[in-house]
Amino acid sequence: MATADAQIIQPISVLIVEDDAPTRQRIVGALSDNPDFDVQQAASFSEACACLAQGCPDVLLTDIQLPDGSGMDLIRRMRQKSDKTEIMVISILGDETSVISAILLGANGYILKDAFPADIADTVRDLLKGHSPISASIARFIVRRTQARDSGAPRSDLNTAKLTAREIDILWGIAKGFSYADIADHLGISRQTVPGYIKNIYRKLEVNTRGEAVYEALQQGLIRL
Amino acid sequence: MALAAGFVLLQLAVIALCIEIRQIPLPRPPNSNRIEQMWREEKSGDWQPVTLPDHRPTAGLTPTVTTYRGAFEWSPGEGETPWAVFVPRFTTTIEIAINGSTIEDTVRDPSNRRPDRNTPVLAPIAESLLTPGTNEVTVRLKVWGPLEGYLDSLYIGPDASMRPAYDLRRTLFGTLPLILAAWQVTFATLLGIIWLNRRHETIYGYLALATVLGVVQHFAGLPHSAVVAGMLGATGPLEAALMLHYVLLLTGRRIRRWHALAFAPGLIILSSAFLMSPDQLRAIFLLFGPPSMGVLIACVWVVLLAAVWQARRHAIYLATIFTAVLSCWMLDILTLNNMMDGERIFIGRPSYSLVLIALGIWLIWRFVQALKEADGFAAALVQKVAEAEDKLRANFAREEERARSEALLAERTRLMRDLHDGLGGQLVSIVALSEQPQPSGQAIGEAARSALKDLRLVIDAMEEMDGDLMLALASWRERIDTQLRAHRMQLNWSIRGPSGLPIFQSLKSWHVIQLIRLMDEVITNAVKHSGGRQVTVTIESVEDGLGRPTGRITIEDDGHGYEAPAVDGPIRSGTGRGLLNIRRRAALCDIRLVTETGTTGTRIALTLPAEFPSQAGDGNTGKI
Repeated sequence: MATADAQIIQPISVLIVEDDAPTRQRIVGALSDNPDFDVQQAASFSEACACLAQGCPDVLLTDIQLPDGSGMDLIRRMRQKSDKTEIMVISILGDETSVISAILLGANGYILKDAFPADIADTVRDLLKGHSPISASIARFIVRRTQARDSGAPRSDLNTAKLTAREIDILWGIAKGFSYADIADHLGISRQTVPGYIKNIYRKLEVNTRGEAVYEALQQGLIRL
Repeated sequence: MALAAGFVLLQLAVIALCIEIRQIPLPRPPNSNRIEQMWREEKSGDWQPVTLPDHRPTAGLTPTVTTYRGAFEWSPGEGETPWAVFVPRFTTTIEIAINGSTIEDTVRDPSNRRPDRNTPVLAPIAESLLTPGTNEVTVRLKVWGPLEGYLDSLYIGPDASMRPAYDLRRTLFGTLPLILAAWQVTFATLLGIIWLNRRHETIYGYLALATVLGVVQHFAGLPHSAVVAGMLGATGPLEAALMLHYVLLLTGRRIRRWHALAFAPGLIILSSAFLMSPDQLRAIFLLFGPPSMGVLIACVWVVLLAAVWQARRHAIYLATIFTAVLSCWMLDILTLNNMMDGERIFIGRPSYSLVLIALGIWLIWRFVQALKEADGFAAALVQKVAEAEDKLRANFAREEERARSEALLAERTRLMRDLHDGLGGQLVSIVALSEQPQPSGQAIGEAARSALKDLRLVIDAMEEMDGDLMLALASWRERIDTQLRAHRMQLNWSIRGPSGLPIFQSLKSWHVIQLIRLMDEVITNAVKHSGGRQVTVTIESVEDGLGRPTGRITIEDDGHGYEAPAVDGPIRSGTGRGLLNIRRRAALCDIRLVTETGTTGTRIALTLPAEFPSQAGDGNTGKI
């Protein structure tokens, strides 16, 4: 019982990497209000690296463009160090290029910079419960790449071959604005399992060889999204 | 004038050359073997001495036979080698007998021993026929046809001493004409093939036919029937007529109908061969044959001279060739009339064969040149086509570039319109709000959020939806969900049916933007003015008045309606402006708008058109 209590009391360590101070303060504020979170912050790539050297946080929230480096590089390093850390990118528009690039390197989702504080805290909690957030446009993007692969016409380097028909159906449902409940009903699955499916989709998209080559290719735009 | 003088000099030189060639003596066996003194039988049993060569008058069609008798010495020890009789020249045929036994009769080989061929005879003598001492040789000269009889000297001696002279003559007058004839066959075939494939170029046909007739003349033997003789006789005039046509065409003249008259003499002789008696045929041949050939050849000559006069180089070449042939024929005539010294050798026929071949070479050369020209023309054409293609490609690239920049400009204009409409206005509003004496952080924040929302809308609308409005509504749902949550309101999102809205083929991005902004206004009204806690969006497929599939989007709130008194002050004007904008946007996209408002809430039903209007118009550019 004591062990269980200790686990519950143990706060969730979060590292926020964002160079714009007001935005950073806003996100830090959204999480610091809650005693569940132990928030650390970094304003640059080097600061973030220094924090990571001390230990792996439970959650890493990082901007993509940092003054002295790339958030993508940070995600890659984080993933090389630990599989347990949940990683999210902080995106302005939630656009496919940045979100999917991050997912390829091992991120589990994204938050929008202008999200309401309550939503930010909810998203991080959901993520820890195993729910990865996905937007309609990201779902649409992944499904379109699947179709492109099937028709063979415009080739994409996004590896969607491993996705099952059910996962693609779920993505279509999300892309068309159906709720998780509707999707579950249509497909005859439990409503609670839908978020798990999405996390699984992210895992499948992740590039397993976490070598320099993939990172370089993404950086140089060699991998077409 | 210089050309004419040069031409005449050239012709004279050619004539002189022909005479010189004709004068070259042909080899003969040693004189010791020659028998010149013989006896000719004038009447039966009446023998008169005669010195060879001897001429005998022709008796026309009925063959006459003249017998000559001579003697020679032979001893058995003398001949390790066999002996032979050699006669270099004779007309028409001879039969040679030694001591009364015939050893050779040239009438048995009519194809090889034609009188115009200069063919010699070498007859080996079987040793059993010879007796030691004096032996007798008898020669029976048979004469018929137009030519007079002729017997050159006899040579009797060892075969080996005769052989070189015989072999050389055999090569010159037997093998060489055969080679030329074979050559003519080849040319006739080539020219014939060219003519058959290019019927309009009759010049090849004329020369091919003339060459064929020449070949026929060569291979036809001594005629034994009047019909064959007539046919053979007709070939000469016909050949001359063909040659005239050929030369007419070659010198660039056109063939007229009356030119066909040139064939008349040949055809008359040919028909006489079938219709008339041999005597009549002979008379007709003498009347039409040689004279018409003379006239036709003279015509050829005139045509060529006229061409020379017009300074056509190839005419000089042809005229020179013809001069050579004519010289040879003139020499033959002189020979025929015993007006030439030397042997009775005819050179007209082989020279004509050479001419035919020369003409064939000339014509095929011309054909090859024409082919080369055609090749050059084709190559030039290919180059021109390639150049034109390059130009076209460049034009196309330029055109494409222009189209691309136009599309880019159009896209930029559209984007500017879209941004101006929403984002621009909101940013200006933020500036204005921040410049107020006491700026309200909340107002600025709201305006900034609207601006971000609009930016996302514009970006979303730029993606190709392929008529699937559901894709745009899904993103919109995410945005208003966040917006409503911030105002502690709840969104109920309901899609009826398995797929929601049908696919709209005519849906364009500006329709999407108008529709989304319209719905944004509705939501804003609900958030700001309804006082409700819930917004329900229902999406369903319906049919329009014409039975076409379309969709309906219903947005309702549980507020107090527009008409109810405001809870916190007069804000009616904002609602009114919002409603006006909603109506305008709906009208732009042909969306049927039904508004129901009451104290229990407001319900706005948007029935989409089955066909969205294609005209973007200026209506959607204005600030609405």
